[in-house]
Amino acid sequence: MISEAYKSGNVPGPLTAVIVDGSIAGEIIKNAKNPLFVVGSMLATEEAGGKKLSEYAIDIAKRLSARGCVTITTANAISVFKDVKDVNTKIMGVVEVVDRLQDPNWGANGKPHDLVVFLGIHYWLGSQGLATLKHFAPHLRTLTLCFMNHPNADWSFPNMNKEDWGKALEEVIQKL
Amino acid sequence: MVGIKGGPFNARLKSLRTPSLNLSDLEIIVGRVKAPEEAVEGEEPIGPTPMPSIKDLRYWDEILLRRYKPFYSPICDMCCFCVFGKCDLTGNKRGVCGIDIKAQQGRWSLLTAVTGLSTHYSHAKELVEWLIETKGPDVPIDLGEKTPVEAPITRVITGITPKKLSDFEPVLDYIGRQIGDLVASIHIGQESDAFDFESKALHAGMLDALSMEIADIAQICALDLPKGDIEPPLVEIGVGTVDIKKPVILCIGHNIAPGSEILNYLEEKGLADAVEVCALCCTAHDMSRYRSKIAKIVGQISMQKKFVRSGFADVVIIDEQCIYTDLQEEARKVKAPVIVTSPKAMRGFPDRTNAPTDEIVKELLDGVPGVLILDPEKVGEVAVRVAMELAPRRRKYKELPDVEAIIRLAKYCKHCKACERACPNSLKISDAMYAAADGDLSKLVELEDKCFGCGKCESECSRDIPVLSMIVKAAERQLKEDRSKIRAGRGPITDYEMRMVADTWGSGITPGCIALVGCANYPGSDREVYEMAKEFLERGYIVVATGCAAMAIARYKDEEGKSLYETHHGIFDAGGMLNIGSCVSNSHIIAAGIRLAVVFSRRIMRGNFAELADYWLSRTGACGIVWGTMSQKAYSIASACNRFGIPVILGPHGSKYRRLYLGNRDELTPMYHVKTGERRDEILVPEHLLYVAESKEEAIVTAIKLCMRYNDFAAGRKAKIMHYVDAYFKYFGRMPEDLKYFVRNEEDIPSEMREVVLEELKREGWQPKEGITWQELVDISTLEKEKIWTFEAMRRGLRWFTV
Ligand code: SF4
Ligand code: SF4
Ligand code: SF4
Repeated sequence: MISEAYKSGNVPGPLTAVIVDGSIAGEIIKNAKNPLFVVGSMLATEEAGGKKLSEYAIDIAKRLSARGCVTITTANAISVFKDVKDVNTKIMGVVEVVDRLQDPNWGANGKPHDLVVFLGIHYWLGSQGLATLKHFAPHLRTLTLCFMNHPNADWSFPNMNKEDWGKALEEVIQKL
Repeated sequence: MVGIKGGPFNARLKSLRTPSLNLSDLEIIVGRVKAPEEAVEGEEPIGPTPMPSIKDLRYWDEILLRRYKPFYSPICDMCCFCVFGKCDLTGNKRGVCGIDIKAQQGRWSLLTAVTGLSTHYSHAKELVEWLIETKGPDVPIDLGEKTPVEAPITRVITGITPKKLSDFEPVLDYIGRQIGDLVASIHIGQESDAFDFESKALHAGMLDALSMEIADIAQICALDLPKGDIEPPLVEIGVGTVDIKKPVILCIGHNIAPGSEILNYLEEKGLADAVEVCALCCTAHDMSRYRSKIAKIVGQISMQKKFVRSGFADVVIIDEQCIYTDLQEEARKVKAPVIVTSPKAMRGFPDRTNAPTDEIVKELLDGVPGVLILDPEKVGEVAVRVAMELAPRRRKYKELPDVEAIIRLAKYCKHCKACERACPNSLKISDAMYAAADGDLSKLVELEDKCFGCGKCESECSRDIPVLSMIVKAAERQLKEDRSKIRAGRGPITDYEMRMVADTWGSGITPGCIALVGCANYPGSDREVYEMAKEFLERGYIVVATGCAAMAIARYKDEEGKSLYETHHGIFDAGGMLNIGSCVSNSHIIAAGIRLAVVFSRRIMRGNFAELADYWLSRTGACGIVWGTMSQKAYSIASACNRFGIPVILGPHGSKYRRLYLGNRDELTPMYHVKTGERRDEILVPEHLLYVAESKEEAIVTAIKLCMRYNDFAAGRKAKIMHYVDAYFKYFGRMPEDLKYFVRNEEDIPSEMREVVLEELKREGWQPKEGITWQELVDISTLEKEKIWTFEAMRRGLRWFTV
């Protein structure tokens, strides 16, 4: 599937994301050994498919927590997890977590990660974090679940409207 | 106001007694600080690195970058720098020349920093030359009796104590030579190592601080701008302050020369009441510092196109730096002639510098779209005469659609969102178009203070919908009501103020100085800058601001219609809200920490860079926030702060600069005892040197954290931890997870939150650090013993007084 980067100027180089749909994204997360879910500031403001983005994020985080995985909340994203039970969260800045992920032995839950999943991070900050991982963390694969195509990820959704985004996120959840 | 007047401030330190602070152990090298009138100049010995070359401070950069490693985020995987290429550098690939992606980012870092530096250097040089020509070479460098140390950065970097304007010439020559070396390092096949590129970028940053200091001190002294006034005049700010019934001259940019000559001409001819002179960006700051009663500030860079399109300006004066490169096209559409005034931005206009004034005036009145005039005095006369004659003729020119046209245009929108994808902040333009098509303009209005005014949306729209004009027209009423007050840029922090605040700031009881600086490329609305300032003021921090950020703060008011500049004092002390001035005034913020080191610890300044930077890094609580970062200058200013040891937080767009300096709190870092030379490995404080925050809330919490310093006294660290925990609860609803890194022992825990903090620390497996004596805190440094020149000078029996 061909899709332009969400930001028309964001054309980094020859290596760009493979575009996936919700169900493939869900499979990628399911098949990862120790995925790290990183959620950002847009959780508090965005909606998808008529629901708050945070509801999808919490659902995914819960399912991952059941597998012993951790969700990193960046910026003020932790606020949406306030009264949520059964979720392993840690607070870090996007740049802090990306910095640590360059070390192949580092893991937010003590074990090295093989997949990093971004959702709801400021577009440019997310894109730049994914660029760092693309160049300097060859041990990792990266996936973004935002409605915006991120060329610096290994796998990205295409640009989509909020309705389709909601459906794609539901498909992800179904697979987990 | 805290502190005591005049006397030896050691007495004041006694009030710092804490459960474990035994003052008989406290041996800060302060002695008695001289009152300004007692100061004897020229006795200060020169340190190890006067006029450092690109290699001389590499050892300091190693210390910094060992702690704060460059973190790279390439924004482009390619290199097209030479015709060996174009090369793909993705991952571990190398270019034809052999460079890898990390070094390539370092090269960009240097290129960006040296561009910012060159901009300020060139500005400083032009300004000093013009001032020498018009005011003479002997204008005294005198910032008043409260500020005997006239140019701390110049002293620290070069060892020179400037007494008169022409004393800056050798300093400028030095910077020029350094720029040559820095740029030469960028050439293919020269520098190849990421660390060395960074060291040079930091060198560029440091020289940028020097350039800014020269530019601002020269204009302060020669044009009599405020010299560290604690209550500089209140100046009107906002579109609504401009009386559009009068002829309007709009100045844009970062150079006081043409603007001041316009003001001079108006005064000379008695026309000050007949013509409205307003300005945007740093020129606005500097003109209002020059004539606060006449010059009005329209606002930040985001207002450039909005204001010009509105048709209010009858003449547009463009000087230099951050000005939209198509602004003359905007002016042409509203039939406002343009006068460009800088050889760095001639913008294709004919050079009429030597033409007779009457001829130029006639040309512009006859419809010539613009001219280049490199004589500020001539600009003054031409601008006023053209504005006065042209104003009555051009009232009808506006680029804004009327309300019916907005609705019609909104209906024509096909909601492809090409505009949103191109907009720097992905503003929700399509939703606003839906609403506008139904006659509801409120969503367009809401976009106004989030909109950077760039017009990129329009250039992407295949239907030529003038999105920006629609936003401006929809928000016209709000813009016309946009009027507030800002204090004119005050310039330096005085040595006198530093004496008053030295003990509380130096010990950490005043938890920090927050510098809100930089451009207007905010990730949300500019209101966020105001909200940050308000929060830090309420917490008792010292808040200083410059440039666009200082204006953003003024834009919002309380219920009584007062801005933070009106509701807070202007003293460099807890709860002070200070407008320092334009971009070049940022130098005074860096200088404040040098002044503290001199006043509080009698450190030698001249030629003693690393020691002063170490003082900033390990002792002096401050953090810069560049929330709307955009330009190369913002990068070099951040690099200046970083080389001086001051942490900086950038807004999310700052990630596109490609490089940060991040620490890792799990790695211990070497510190040294200044007397015994003993090395000890300690937790890294402050945690980062250059950081990007994603949201306002994260920026606030992180800034509080980055104001912690290794040498905080218990009372100071306690205050900082209290704010950190409190802000964390406020924004994140829980305890910070990293407290164990900052609480050294129980004395650092605020009593009001003792139990919860201890509980959290227990959970994190915290071990208190025993045996910290306050003498020891004072004696620990990031520099090895031999590198601390003040102590070395004392060992050699030298004695000196600075202030
Ligand atoms: S400078 Fe090096 S990497 Fe860049 S284009 Fe030339 S050969 Fe390629
Ligand atoms: S680019 Fe033009 S047509 Fe497309 S959504 Fe924006 S304004 Fe409408
Ligand atoms: S003018 Fe405003 S809305 Fe248009 S692209 Fe620029 S910031 Fe976005």
